[in-house]
Amino acid sequence: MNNERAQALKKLQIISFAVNEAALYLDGHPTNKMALAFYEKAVKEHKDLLAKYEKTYGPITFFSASGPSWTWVQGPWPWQNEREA
Amino acid sequence: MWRKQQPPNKAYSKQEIPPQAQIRACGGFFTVIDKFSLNTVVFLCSYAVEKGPDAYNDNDEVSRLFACPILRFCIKGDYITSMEFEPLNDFVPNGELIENLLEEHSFPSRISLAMAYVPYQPFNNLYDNETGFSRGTIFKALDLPFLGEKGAGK
Repeated sequence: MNNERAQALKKLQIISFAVNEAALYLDGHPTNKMALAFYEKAVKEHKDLLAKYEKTYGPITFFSASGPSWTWVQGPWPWQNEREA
Repeated sequence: MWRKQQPPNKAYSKQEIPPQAQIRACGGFFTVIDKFSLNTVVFLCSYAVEKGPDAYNDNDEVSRLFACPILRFCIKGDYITSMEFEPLNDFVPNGELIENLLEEHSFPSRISLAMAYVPYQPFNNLYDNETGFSRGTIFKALDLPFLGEKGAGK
């Protein structure tokens, strides 16, 4: 996996984590306006980063795999190390 | 519940505290009669005094509120009747924000004896997303690494 791709993936993981944290907080505090605002902002950022990543490097999950050939199998497999990929 | 926000150009903004904010001092400790407690107000004041304008942070509304000097608050009997804030850098404490904050720092009323309670967790004092990711939590207050024997009180 090249450096740029790894960076993009890490950014996506970071924002996913933030969304997840806000969601867990909101489970216990469903009307907290600051948490809701944080969640909405993070979800939007996640959506943008995901779209950008998938456009450049292919699908993250097979729900967004498409095209004339099966793009899902074109990315690295989980057991492939960085050099192989 | 709160009066509407005052226009920002006023010398101070006065937030009326609702009558439900009933507190009762009780031998150095306090009992929460309803939603808000005296310790919350004391906490707000002491934080503001301690941090002053240094607590100001563009990204955190709560820090901005804490940074606003609390001019005075009024207790009549068991009631907190009003709080006055000095606006800071055009930021005027917003009633809704204060209400959220008071709620988050208060225990529920009518708690039972012999039960353990976890305080409400406020949504503030956050890491930036990247630090949160590497620390395993976005909440600074929940970043509690296990220190083994070093963390044990003796």
